Amino acid sequence: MALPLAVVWSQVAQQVTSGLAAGAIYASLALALVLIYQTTNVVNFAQGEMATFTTYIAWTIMNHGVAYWPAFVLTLLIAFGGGVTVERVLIRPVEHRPELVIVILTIGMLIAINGLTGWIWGPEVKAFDSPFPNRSVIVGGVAISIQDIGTFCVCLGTVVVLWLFFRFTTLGLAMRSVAFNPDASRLMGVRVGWMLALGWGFAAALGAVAGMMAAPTVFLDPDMMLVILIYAFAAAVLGGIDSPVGAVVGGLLLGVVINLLGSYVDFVGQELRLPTALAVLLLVLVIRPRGLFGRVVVRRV
Amino acid sequence: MSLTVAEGEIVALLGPNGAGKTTTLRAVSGTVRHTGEIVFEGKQIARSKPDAVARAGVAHVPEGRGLFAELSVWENLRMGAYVRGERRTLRQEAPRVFKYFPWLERRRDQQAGTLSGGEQQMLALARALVGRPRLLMLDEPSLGLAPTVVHEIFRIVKELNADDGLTVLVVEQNANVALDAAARAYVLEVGQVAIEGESAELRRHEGVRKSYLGY
Repeated sequence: MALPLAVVWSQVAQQVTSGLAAGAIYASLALALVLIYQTTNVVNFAQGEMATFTTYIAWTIMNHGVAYWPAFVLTLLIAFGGGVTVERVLIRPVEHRPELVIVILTIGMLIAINGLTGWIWGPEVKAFDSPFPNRSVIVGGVAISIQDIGTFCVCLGTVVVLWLFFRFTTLGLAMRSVAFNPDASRLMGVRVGWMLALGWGFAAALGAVAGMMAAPTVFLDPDMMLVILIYAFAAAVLGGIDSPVGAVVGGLLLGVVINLLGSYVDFVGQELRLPTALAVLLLVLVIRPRGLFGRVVVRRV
Repeated sequence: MSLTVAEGEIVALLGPNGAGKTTTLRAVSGTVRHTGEIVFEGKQIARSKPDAVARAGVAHVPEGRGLFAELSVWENLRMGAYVRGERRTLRQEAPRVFKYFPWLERRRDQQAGTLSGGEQQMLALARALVGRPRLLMLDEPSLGLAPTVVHEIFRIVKELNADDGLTVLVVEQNANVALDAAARAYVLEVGQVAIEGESAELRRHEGVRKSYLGY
């Protein structure tokens, strides 16, 4: 510890902020997983590949000369439509089959979409533009990259917009009611099937946000979301797979912890980040099986 | 089996367990597969999906009440209004419903799952009423509740019927309270209508008295 304390602190703060940016991406994808899990009770293993596919679509749109933000919005709309279509066409027919059937279907989708992406766009790695300048700002002696701030704000902004939607709109309420009790929702006049499809649409759009925010740093290739999806799973389980708040907090926490472990615990380094994250996850689940924010329903009869 | 409910009427379905009372209600609301015809306000609804039946104006308070335990009292009421367009309906109907259940307004932010059984039953009733149904179907509203709560619920149902001409089809084990509220009743036995008639008439019927009224 030859360094003055102030320098160490600024380094830690820097690692924390870049961890928060990565964590926000995990949080978006984790929230997408939770959305689908809550409404359809399915773990969507294809979530990452769906995100990759839509990020390639964004890349293609931008390659046709469309500016970043219009392309961003257009991609979200396409992703939303794609998610709705996937639910209607692929998931709907197996809705009432055993869970294993649906799990195998989403794993099949993972492989199929991954193959399709490589077939359409080729296997070579592509650069993906970032909407944010590649500079840093100094806040209180801590250099924070604008890229990180932007990533964090876009991901968390999306989450907040989604939260407002679920909290305050009629459609959002109906979707929540379907997640809690589909049979009772039907008796309230809710078209349950469409609510499930909308859930997939929102999840796909969230995935697209995660993909577009991740691509400038991890670069565009057909497998780019694989590791991020594993982190997102870890985040979702850490927070409690049935808790949207948990998914977001879990994602941010995981991003920060992994970054700090990777930088300050020597044996972890770059290579052992993923296994370390999973070890941390395992530990949490042993102590608290329902995750940090898992639902405990208070119910009287 | 055939039964009718006229507009503005309270009709009770009585009978032992397994007679098909609950199934009858579920057939009407489209939550169980069945054969036969069901006509509501001149329209065939036998093949309609539950959400379509609800939108046609039939409110079904099912066995177990079907509340959203994780949502607040107010959110449950919002869901009741969903069937007719949430916001406008809620603005118009919530004050009317709160007149019958004043305590609901005070506890609108409470999680529905934390209400007592009687309160939950009343919330389920209130939620159905917010959607201004033209037929209200209640499945065993008295189940597991204290006698005073049961009387309170049936008093409100009678009041609604007198005030607004609410049409009600109620399934009940407790024949006494049901016959007290209903104008007519059907007694079901193994999927058939065994006895039917006006409530006063059924009260005098020896079989009904022995099996269901206990005197």
